[in-house]
Amino acid sequence: MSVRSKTDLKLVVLAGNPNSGKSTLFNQLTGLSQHIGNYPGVTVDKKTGALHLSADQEVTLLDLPGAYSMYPSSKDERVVLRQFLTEEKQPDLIVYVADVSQLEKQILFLTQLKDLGYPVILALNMVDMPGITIHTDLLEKHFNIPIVPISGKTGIGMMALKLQIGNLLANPIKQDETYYKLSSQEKELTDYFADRIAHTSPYGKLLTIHHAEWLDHISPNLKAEIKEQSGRVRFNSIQAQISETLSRYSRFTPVIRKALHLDEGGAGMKMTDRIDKWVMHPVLGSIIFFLLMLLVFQAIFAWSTGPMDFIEAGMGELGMMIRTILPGGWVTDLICDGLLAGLTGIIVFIPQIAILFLFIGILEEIGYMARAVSMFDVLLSKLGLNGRSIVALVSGGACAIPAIMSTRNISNWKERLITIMVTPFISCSARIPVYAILIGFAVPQGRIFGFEQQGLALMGLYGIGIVAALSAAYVLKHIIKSEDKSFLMMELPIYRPPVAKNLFLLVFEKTKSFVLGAGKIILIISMVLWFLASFGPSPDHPKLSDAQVETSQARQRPAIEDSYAGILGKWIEPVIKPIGFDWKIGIAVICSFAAREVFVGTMATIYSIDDDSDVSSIRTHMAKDRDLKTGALIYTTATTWSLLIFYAFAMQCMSTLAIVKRETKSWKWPIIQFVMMTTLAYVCSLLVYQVLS
Amino acid sequence: MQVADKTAIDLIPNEISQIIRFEDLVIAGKLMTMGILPNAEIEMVRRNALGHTLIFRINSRFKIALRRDEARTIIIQSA
Repeated sequence: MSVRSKTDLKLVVLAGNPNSGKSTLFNQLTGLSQHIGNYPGVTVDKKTGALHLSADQEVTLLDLPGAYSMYPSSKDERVVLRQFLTEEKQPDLIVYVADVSQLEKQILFLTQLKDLGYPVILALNMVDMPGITIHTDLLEKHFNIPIVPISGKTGIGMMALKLQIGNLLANPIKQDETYYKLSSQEKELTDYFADRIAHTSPYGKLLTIHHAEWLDHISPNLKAEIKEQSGRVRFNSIQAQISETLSRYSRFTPVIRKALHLDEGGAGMKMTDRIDKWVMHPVLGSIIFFLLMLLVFQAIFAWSTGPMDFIEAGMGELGMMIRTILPGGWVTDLICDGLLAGLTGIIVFIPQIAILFLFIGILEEIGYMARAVSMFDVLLSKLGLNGRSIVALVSGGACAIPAIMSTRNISNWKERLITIMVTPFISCSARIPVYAILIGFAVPQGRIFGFEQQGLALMGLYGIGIVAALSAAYVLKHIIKSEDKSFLMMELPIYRPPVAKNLFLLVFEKTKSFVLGAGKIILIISMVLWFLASFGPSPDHPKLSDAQVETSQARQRPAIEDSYAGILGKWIEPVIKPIGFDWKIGIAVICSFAAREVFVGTMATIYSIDDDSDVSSIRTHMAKDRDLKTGALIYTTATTWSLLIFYAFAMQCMSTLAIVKRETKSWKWPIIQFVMMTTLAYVCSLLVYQVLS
Repeated sequence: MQVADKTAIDLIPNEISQIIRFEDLVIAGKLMTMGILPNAEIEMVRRNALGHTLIFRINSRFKIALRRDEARTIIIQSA
């Protein structure tokens, strides 16, 4: 096989409606070779992967976000249009995926793609569902494109699809005849701009005229001219879109009705109805939602303890081993107390993140999320949000970053902005380790009504996060002004069993991006912190030497106080004293503004530098920590609760702020968000500490 | 104002009718791309307790959740 650069490879694009099973097919075809990148300027995931058609033929497969048509109603869908109208690398072939049981409503987009002039293959998905009879020959003849029946779930038809892709790439069928005949008015317009709009097909020109306003590659001059010319011929974009849509439907609907037979209640519809009777019930539905969330968080708490202890113990052993192998000195200290401590702080998260994404993935896959959206719209729309915000709010329980990115399908700007602003209030997985370490100091172990007391405290912390998010939304609703229309229009797909491969890839990708993304920050901060905590300006306490490592704890203790970190911590002590934090917590809080999860690593670094004679856990260190002057325990109930509340509310995540800046296209909103959240955190911690102490 | 027109919100659960036209162009454009067109069969599946969200089944094929304000723009056969 010859070595070729990726750009030489042919580009095959996967397109289709939401719920067509497109992602399942993508996972089936590419597996672990997939790569998630970004579209320039936006944050919708750009998923590409290598597709091996045969031993010596490889193409690049691009998975587009699901879209209903070439008339996008959300920013997600705009990406699709840009791919065809502006991207420099044009697709060589489109594989259009459609759920065969919903064929009638999923074919509109196909006819539009066909009119752009690309060779298209129709992959009819879920042909293995019971109660379906389909005559593909009728469809093949009508649309003049190859059709391959497949099942993304079981892998039926994958070979045939690859063969067909190879065939069509070698001998492309030119789509000369357009499916939709442009009206005389549309023709007049496209002819007028024939030379000015670079896109080759007349339908592409028409779409450019429709969407010129927000297409970046159209110059302001041309935009103005399109607007003027459209006005002159009285071209009404919405009206034209509707008559185009109707014309397309009237051509293909009779053909599809002839070619497809569905048994009454077939293709999972009967079962879906039965489940919906319970799940969508106004009262039972809410109880089911609450129980599901309870299950998810109990599982996170219960299932992750084992692996987390294992990771911590393993990393501890590793540190010991390194210490026995390497000679003492600052290099060994850097490796053990800086690098290894930071690394542990990343890896220890993996079980929790994986479990949370697994559950969110399952809920999304089986079709439950759409129900949650429609159920919560009544509440959320009153709070200035959209039913769709529930996806962000629930995902926010894993990580605010993908959650904020998921708001792109909320077409109303105000609702989307409020969702972005309040989602970080939802307790994300980065807070779990902080909570987990601290709850032990505030709540004793034991059971209440059969539930873990500490688990209930954890739920309570999640609860106040939710209350804060919803209240903030309500306040913002009255502050932010907008005249955009708001929509729900949520399709409720058929319930399907989750596909194991999809879940595996989802959990794998999300965990990987956490480790590589957030992990980098944590690692750097751990190293910087180690430096700050190990070195100081004072001549009395020069950098830690071999001799000092040997010395007793008593002599080491002042060393960290006089280090740069200690000075920094002492410097902010007046501000944090009223909320019950000492300078050590101060260091952790400052470092946590980069990322919350740094708290644990910071504590580990501070205490392990303080006392690296053993590898006992940070918790034991913290539990034993006493004020030097008074001798009182540092982590009292009041301090611990104050700290917990502070971490629940404060905006302590650089990555989230960066995403908010990118999504809102200004620094204004992340700054407002930072001030809003951190002020609330300080005030609430102050109240809690003053009341409890 | 067509006060006499019957709209999708007038349906009671399990009642089936047919869509005649749409009142609002923007909503119509969106509904159509999702497969909801004039002449389609529309069935009310349920409405939630406060009547804010309505669930419809279209052409006995798929279900969609609409807000009351959205459903109000769907004019249906009155018979």
